[in-house]
Amino acid sequence: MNGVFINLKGSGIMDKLEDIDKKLLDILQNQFPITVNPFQVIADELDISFSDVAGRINSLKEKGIIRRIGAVINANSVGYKSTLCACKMPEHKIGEFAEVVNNIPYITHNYVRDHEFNIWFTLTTPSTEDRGRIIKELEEAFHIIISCMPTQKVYKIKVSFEME
Amino acid sequence: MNFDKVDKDIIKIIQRDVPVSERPYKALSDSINISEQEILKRIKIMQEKGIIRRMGAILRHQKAGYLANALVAWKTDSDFADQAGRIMAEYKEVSHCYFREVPESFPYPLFTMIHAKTEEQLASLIDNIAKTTGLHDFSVIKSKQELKKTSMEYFND
Repeated sequence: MNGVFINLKGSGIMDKLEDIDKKLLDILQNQFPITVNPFQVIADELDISFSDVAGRINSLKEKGIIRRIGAVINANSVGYKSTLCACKMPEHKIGEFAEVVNNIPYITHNYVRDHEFNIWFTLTTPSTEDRGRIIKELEEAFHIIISCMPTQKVYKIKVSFEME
Repeated sequence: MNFDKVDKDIIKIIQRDVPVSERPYKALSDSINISEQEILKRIKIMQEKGIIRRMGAILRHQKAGYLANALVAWKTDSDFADQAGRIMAEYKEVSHCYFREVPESFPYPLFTMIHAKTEEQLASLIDNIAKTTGLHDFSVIKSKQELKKTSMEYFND
């Protein structure tokens, strides 16, 4: 099992990152300090300047590696209900469905997948009533049946990726 | 709910992109009329309570070199799900592991998201998980196209 994360060959962009960027990414993901000057603290740890850290972060954002720096909120704990949904969508309707979904802020992930259910998306709503309403609207608009697969138990949620 | 209006205001701003500046929380706290110390204190408390899972960078994993990713759903009896779920959670390549309510047409309630650098590594991981859990009936569902991937924005309505 070990070694899976160490071998970065063939991974495109990552090959071109300097070691210091990889270290920076690990710290930014896993040890981001909650303090008045987090980026200075990180700069000190890496033994580089604040402006060097800022420049590297901006460049990692431009390359698309960093999506954002901020909080990941536990949907459940703020009263929201989330579910995974799947459906069989006629191929010619996928583009239109994607456009509709882009305007629904409660759907954050939407994928075409290699399965009998060819569309899979996540729906996080303030209540299960809101969920029901959105599902019903989509079902009626696209003449499809959507299967909801709400979470019953969480064994793991890990949202960081090892760089080193 | 064990959080108040100020906590909601904080969530609304820190769920976005924190500015890369020398005093990022100063700008954020000013924008919602609380002190820098107050925002820091409340963020720490919300982390302890599990309202904030994590503060930090969120990456696009494909751009970060994880090119082989799959949703793998496993068939299991509900009495064995806990044991299997815990074994799967041990794998660092497994980012998410959930037990879900599923329809009869899709009898695979134990869901994992698995991330690897190559297809070969992904295949061998799935094979390894099947062996260690004894679950040999599973469905590998790869994405063909990402239509949307955003961060959820709470309390924005």
